[in-house]
Amino acid sequence: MKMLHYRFVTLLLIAGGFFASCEGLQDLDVPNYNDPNRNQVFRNSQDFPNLLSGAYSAWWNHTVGPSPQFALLPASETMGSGYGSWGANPFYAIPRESVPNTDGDPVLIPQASWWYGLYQGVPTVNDVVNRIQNEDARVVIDGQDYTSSTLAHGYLLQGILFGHLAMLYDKAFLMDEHTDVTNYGFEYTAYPAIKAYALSRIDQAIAICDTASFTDPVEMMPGVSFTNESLSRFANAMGARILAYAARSAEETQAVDWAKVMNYARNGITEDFLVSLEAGWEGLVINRDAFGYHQLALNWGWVRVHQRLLHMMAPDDPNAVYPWPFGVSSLGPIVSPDQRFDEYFEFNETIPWAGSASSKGYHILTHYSLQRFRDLYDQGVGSVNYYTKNENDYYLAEADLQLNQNIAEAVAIINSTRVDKGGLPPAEVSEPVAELKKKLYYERLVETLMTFPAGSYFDRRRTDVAEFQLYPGTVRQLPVPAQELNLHGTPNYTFGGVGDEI
Amino acid sequence: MDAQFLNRFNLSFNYARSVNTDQILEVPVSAVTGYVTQWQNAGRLSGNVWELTLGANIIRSNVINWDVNLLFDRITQTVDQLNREGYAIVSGGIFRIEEGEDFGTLYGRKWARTLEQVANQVPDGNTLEEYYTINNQGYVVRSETIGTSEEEPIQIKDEEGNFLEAKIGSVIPDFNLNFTSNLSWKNLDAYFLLSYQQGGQTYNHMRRYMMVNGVSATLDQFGRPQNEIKSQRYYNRLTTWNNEYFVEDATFLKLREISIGYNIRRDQLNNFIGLENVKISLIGRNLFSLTRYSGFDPEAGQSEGGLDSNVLKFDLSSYPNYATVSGSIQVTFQHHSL
Repeated sequence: MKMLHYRFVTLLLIAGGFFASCEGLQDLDVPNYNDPNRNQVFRNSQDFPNLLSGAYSAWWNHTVGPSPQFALLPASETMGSGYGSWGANPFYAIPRESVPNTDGDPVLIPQASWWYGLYQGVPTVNDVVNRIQNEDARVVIDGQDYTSSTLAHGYLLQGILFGHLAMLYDKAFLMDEHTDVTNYGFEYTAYPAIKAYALSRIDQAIAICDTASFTDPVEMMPGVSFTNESLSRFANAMGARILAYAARSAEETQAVDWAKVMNYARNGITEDFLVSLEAGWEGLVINRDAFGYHQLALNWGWVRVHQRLLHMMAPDDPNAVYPWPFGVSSLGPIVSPDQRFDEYFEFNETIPWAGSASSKGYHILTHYSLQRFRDLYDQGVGSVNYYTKNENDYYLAEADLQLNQNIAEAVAIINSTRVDKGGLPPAEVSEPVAELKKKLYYERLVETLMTFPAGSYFDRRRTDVAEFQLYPGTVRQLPVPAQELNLHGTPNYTFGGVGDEI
Repeated sequence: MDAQFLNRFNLSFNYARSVNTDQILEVPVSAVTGYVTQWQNAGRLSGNVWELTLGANIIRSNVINWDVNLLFDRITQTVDQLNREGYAIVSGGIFRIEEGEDFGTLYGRKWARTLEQVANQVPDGNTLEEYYTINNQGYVVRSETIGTSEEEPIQIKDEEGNFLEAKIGSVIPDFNLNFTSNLSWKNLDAYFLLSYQQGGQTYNHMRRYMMVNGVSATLDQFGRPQNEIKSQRYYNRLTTWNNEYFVEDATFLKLREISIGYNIRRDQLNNFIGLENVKISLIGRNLFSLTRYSGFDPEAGQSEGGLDSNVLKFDLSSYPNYATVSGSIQVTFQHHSL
């Protein structure tokens, strides 16, 4: 009897649970608010500025993050890594090698980071531009019309996203607001056309800024809220950088439209462009590793200033000998005639890779770590000096020298840092242009080191000053990542090694 | 198929053909989507499993009982359908997920071991036999560098001059054997499990890092005959990413478990609070292994892209299976019906 009682109660509980569950089944078919479609995302035009801010973060995080900067900087012999993290080894091995273009975890592949990172921003930007340009969407927030500023940001983002793709890759998929992504043909466009498209979009952004008057409704980047004037200046500065940095060689630098660079630089930034160091804006490799190359350079003791750069600043000091002599594991402190040497760099008694130098190569050894910008990363608050006024002015000076005009202006720009900050003998108007270019690139390599992290790689790649060029065989542009090639059945290829740099 | 014979032995053979459809894999997508990967029901995986079990009751009496069991198995898996182009995972692509590809094949660069393999790397004006030779480790090197600090192995290149990415191994074992022994004598139980894996390879990426950092025993040249000493440049060359040098035989014999237990039975417990049995055991796991694998554990692996570390035998400072010694008290209560 007792057993029957228990069984009855158990059956009752099961049945009760079953019917209670059935009652809830009608609620299983619920909308998934975490998976909105395009129309839902782009329905509310008031969201456009924030959506574009997200696209800026894709561009920002990947161009200040560890990859491919971790590979490009040792390749440029301005900073060292001395390790293989983020696929850096083949970029700086001596003799230089072709860089592997393999399928796999994109975080480990230098050519993957900008590719996937920059394209993260493209669909959103194109959709916003399309909604405004082709569907007459208006961006009205609190009764004020921000359509012009939103469109200007959209064009600028198209410009800088594709501009950076043009800087680094031999080709890319060119997509604008008219592109049907769902039926996309995956046709590659060579980098000169990608660059031309990028600059045309930057010009469109500038044209809007120069005719409209606005202040952004939101911060587009941490601590950065543009007016039409400041956005125009930033767009011009980015135009100068992209136009100059897209050159792969001294020959391509000679062919750059320097008059256009001059125009961009004259209308460029008049003060340093700063972005606050905030969570989510510290740098990424695709979607991992939330920190920037700056942080690595300053916080990881083994990321060091390259001996070649030290030698440039102290050519007569035997401790600054370059290349680092084989079999030597330690040299002493360096004395440089440049006052910035001890301000920007710090001597370390120990060298992280000295013990294993013979297996890694003595070329990676150096006693000096980066000191400049240290406060920002030690304290974790402040602003990243992403684009200095000096860099903008250097483009102007370079354009002057390339066009062989306004030499006095170029000399003044060179001396503004060479003399005022470095305490070096002034450049003179009477000097040959080749000598002034050498002094200008010296300033670029010192003053723009670690502002736009990959900048010194692009400078060494393009410079027509022979002694500042890349080590022979260094890769001069990156291939489309193998993962992308494989998706479309495109044959694999790569660059790097003597004769195959480009 | 099951068979029993001589009243003490049983033999069992199983063959299973498995087809796993709609495998959930994290597959790459084009950058134009704004994303890198997408979880998709992307593939179909077919497997063949052969199992042969031989069990024996060696001793059977009221006082002592001893059972042993030997299990042989061989498992192969193939990706026989993939709803997209093949792709590679782990360490920049050492494993490939590709239609028709055996699951667990390792890919990477190879070192030339015959002169024919470097015939496409002879500079103009030289002959193959003069320019290259084979050193005492079996690698092709440039003849003029042999015995010097410049000596280094040569990677094989394809017809277009690119480094060849080829099959360099497979993590799939030829077969596994598991031997168990259960011995009980009066109140004592003794048990052990021996596992043996024949073949299969593990990629020892940790050894690469140790060589890169100059702390691998491979680099220690002390006491070697003069003609066998190689420079660190030589070994540095061998640390090239994903190459056959770090593919190691993962054959092993492991004492996975050994235990001894003492049972206090119902009659000894005198019906104490309804206890049926109390067993006190001392258990040791992974206490002993024999392997030529130079890392911590030939079974080390990585999880990635929806695939687990049992398959992706890529050793990057993976934790080995711990050696543990533990005690156990197992209490069984008497059974009462409701």
